[in-house]
Amino acid sequence: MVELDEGPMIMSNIANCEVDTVKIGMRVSVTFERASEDIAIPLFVPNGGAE
Amino acid sequence: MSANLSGEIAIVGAATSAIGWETKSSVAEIMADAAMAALADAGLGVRDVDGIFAVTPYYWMPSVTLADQLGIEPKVTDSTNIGGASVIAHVGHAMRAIAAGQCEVAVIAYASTQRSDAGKLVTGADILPYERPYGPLFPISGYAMVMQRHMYEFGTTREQLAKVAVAASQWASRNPDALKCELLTVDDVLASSLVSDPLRRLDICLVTNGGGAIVVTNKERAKKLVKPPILVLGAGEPLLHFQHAQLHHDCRG
Repeated sequence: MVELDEGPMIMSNIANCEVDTVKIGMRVSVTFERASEDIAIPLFVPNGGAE
Repeated sequence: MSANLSGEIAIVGAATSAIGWETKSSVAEIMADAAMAALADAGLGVRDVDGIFAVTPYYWMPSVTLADQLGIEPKVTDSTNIGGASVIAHVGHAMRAIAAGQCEVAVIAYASTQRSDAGKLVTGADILPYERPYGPLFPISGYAMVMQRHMYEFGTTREQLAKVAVAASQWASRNPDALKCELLTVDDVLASSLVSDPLRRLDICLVTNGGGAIVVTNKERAKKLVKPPILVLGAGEPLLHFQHAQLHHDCRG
């Protein structure tokens, strides 16, 4: 689950990192993966240590 | 202000049916078999029943299907499905209906043949478009995330949580209907394969076939029946969320 700075919380996947490095409370940024011509799915990637 | 219904109704019969790995019966038959056995347990017959409360993922109107299967036309029916807590909620709904005089003898029933049909939980038609694309195992991953959060908030350890499965195995070892009777250890649980981090295979409940039913009636009628009545002292239901994104703010830490 990712809680956005704006308030809402959404289910997502944390991408572009080893699963063991995912921690509760870590800062992440959104990225979009194209699932079809019409749909892009939001994923999140680590902020590279930034808080 | 609501009326105090504590002790107004009683559980007077209970039974299970077709508990096992394999069955040739339909879900409707298993529900009806459980209902008939629970009525026999209470010293009542199917013609005494004027309330049907039933839930199963197999039918879109489970109480109607069960009434058909039993060949009765009840005055009150309820097919409320709020997941695994449905039959507990039905006790509260039956309490209100009986206390209001809308029915007198109610059967509450559930059945499933998920082991034979799929070997896994049949979760119904919901697509959950904002969650399904991320590949969670329903409902396992939801519990896994709750467990993950509990460990984070309270320092709960995997060893402590494995004791839930260990305790369940101890109860199963004393139950002649249990499908698996071997006693588990914490090490067994922690050595089983990872399913949805941190939940492992032996943390997760068995998927089985079977049905169950209870019979409830008002306290006056309950006193006239064969077995000592079990008075229902209270029943309630809170609904928090289905989609994980609807998790209440209080739960977010």
